[in-house]
Amino acid sequence: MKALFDIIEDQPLALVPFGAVLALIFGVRHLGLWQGQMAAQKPASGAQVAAVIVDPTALTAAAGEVAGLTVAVTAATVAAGAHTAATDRLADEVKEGTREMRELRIELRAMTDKMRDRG
Amino acid sequence: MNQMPHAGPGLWIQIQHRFGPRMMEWFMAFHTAMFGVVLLITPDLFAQPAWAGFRSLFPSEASLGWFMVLLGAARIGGLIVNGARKHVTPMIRQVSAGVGCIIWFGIVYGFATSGVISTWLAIYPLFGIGELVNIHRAAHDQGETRHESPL
Repeated sequence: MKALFDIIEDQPLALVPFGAVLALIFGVRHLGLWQGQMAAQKPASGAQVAAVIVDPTALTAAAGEVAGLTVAVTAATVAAGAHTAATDRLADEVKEGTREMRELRIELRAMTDKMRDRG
Repeated sequence: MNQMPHAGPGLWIQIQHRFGPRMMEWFMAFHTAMFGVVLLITPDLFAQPAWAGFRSLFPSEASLGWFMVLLGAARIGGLIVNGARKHVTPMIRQVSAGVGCIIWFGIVYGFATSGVISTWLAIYPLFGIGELVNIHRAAHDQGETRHESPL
């Protein structure tokens, strides 16, 4: 401590740069604290992305889930296509059956009329 | 439980993980310690004209040398503690960077008062400014933590 006082006594001007450096240190610290608080108040989407980049485990797991989902959706689309085709075929069959029944009914009516005319 | 520091290989992995953002602080710590080592192993360095200013600030080059070695070692210790703990310790970093800033600008003052212009002018002022950047970064981290913490 005595040595410090000796330096101050020998070089009083040294206090000026020392004080300026101290002021700079505290000024920069308060600026950093303030900017940090401001940055934390902003939406944290960037921080979440950074967290995913730092720890890619969650990203890898999510990619696996998306791949599985894609396979499931593709299989469901194929099944839905097959189902639509089967429904189309069934509709054609029903239409054909209806047409044949109509023709049968016309023929039956003609035969009935013919038999009635013969007495 | 989460406050438990890392140990064994986990400690090394954690220090490596944080080495990137703290790189400048690690280098400053080694600069400080190496500055002291050079002072200790080189005889009569203070006798050179460029070191004249230091003669009025420190009683001998050995005292400045040991002071710098201890300061550098303390800072390296602080960085290891910072790497070992699960939660960052921005206060330790700010204090060590603040002390480093005073030291580097003190060295600039020592050289400047020697009256010899040399390559020190291209080195040590930038070290001091680098420490200011370190203080800012550590304070920024602390500011973010303050906002997240309910305290």
